[in-house]
Amino acid sequence: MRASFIAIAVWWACIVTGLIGFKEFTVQTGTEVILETRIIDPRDLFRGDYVILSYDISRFNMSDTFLDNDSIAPGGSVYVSLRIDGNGHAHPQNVYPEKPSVDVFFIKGKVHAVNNGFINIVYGIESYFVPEGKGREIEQKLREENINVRVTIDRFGNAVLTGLEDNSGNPVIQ
Amino acid sequence: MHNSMIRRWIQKGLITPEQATLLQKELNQYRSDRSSRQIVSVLSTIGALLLGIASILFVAANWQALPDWTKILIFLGVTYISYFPGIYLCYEKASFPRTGLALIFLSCLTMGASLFLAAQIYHVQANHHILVLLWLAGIVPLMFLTASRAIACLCLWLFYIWMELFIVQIAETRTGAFPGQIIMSLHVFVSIGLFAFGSLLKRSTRLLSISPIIRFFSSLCAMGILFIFTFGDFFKAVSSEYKYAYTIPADIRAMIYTSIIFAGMLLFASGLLPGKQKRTSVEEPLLLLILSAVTLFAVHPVDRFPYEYVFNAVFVITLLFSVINGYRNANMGWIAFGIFWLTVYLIARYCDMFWNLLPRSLFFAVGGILLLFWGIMLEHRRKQLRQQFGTKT
Repeated sequence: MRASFIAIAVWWACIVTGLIGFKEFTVQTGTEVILETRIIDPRDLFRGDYVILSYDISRFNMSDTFLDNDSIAPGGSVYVSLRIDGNGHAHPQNVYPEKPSVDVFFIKGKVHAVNNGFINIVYGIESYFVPEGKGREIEQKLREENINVRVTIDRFGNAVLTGLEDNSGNPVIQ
Repeated sequence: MHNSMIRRWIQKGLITPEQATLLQKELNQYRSDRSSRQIVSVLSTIGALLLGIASILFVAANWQALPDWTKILIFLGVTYISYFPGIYLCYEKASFPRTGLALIFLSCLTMGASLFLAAQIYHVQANHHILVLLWLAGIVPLMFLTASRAIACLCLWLFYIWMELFIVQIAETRTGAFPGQIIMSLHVFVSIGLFAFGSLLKRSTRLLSISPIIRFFSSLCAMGILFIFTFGDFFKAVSSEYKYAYTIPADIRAMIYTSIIFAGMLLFASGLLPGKQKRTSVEEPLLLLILSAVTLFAVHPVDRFPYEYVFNAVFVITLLFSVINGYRNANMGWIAFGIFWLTVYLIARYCDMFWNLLPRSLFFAVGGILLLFWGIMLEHRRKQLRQQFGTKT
């Protein structure tokens, strides 16, 4: 019985460190880019304050992409190629149903919905947690100026959100 | 054992008054011990629960004074600091088993809090079903190892939350309507499967204590949804959804069939496989009846089919059989279950039928009188049954 309890303790450590390791791999090995965003701010007692983010790369007209109705399904993976300008800002190029060639910088997303010829994509970087009580204050700040999101993307297209910053590159949350 | 039984034994000459006094003393001692053990269990579990909620709220506060890594280490530290001493107190030294079990329960809560803290640091969506699934995967082995009721409750709670998040996440990716009855039917299938699984656990002496927890929660969920299915307005809403030529997506259809097959297999295993003792149970046929009715509704939701009457009949049959089953097996739990839902059902039907027919004052007056009589009758009958069943309850 003692061995079983120890095995469970190890299993717990694997679960928590596995999640951290998966995300930390992206942060350590990925390329940092800046994405333009829009924000809505909800509140939840158990999850704390967080802002929901939407990006320019969240919605595409199907006719502007390499996708057709047969190549995508809700919940399926898609790949958005990105061009990085001199300021580190990432701009969408195209959307692929398969992983693009190695020399293309891309972010991996999931098809959220397909509506009237438009495709909505999520990347797992749509939430940004802020300290309790700061949500409204940040929301107000965001209404007054444009905000960018700093994101790290690894070679597999996985993305981790690392910060919110204003147009001058100053972090919104210290 | 009741005091009245001891008196009866003296009258019949089975025991002497001296033996009766000794028995009475032993009985009082046992009751006192059991009561204090229960108090310790309840207090320790509530304490662990409060500490667990405090840790989850701490994560929610996203306190920035400490670096992220420090917070993770503190949470993992608290998890293991409560886990290993809990095992020591409960199993190694076995001197404080209830407190030990409460500490293990606390470690289950803080393990989940650690997971959510890590997710928050990397801004992973907190309502992602994978997080709940990982938490569940972490503590399910402990539920089987410790047979703790508190951990079993937590596992069931997490399982239903995971299922909800998983289905909602799929529903969000669908364009147009995603009928509520599909989600509700899936809950019924899974609850029937869980109930049958809980029945299977009764065969294991070690896991016997968590069997009622699983059976109680799953039956509550299944009956709650069946109760909703007895309303005519529900089917009117459903039939209006189907005017939009809705077809169930292939993956949802696959989920429905998989859950039906699993529920059927578990029912088969709990009802037909040889157990330690022979028993005559109406549970499995009854569950099979519910499973069949809900399956028909989930895969063939034609608005002209009289589902309202089918589910009213199934609901009433289920309640009647649960009461009959309670009488046959001298089980107050089954009777209370049947009576509770029958009361809820009768109130709902009374409101359905008389809300528009009677003046409001008369509606409430008649309803109040009927409920009072029903309550008096139940109380009287409950006393009789308690005496009749004696220790079996």
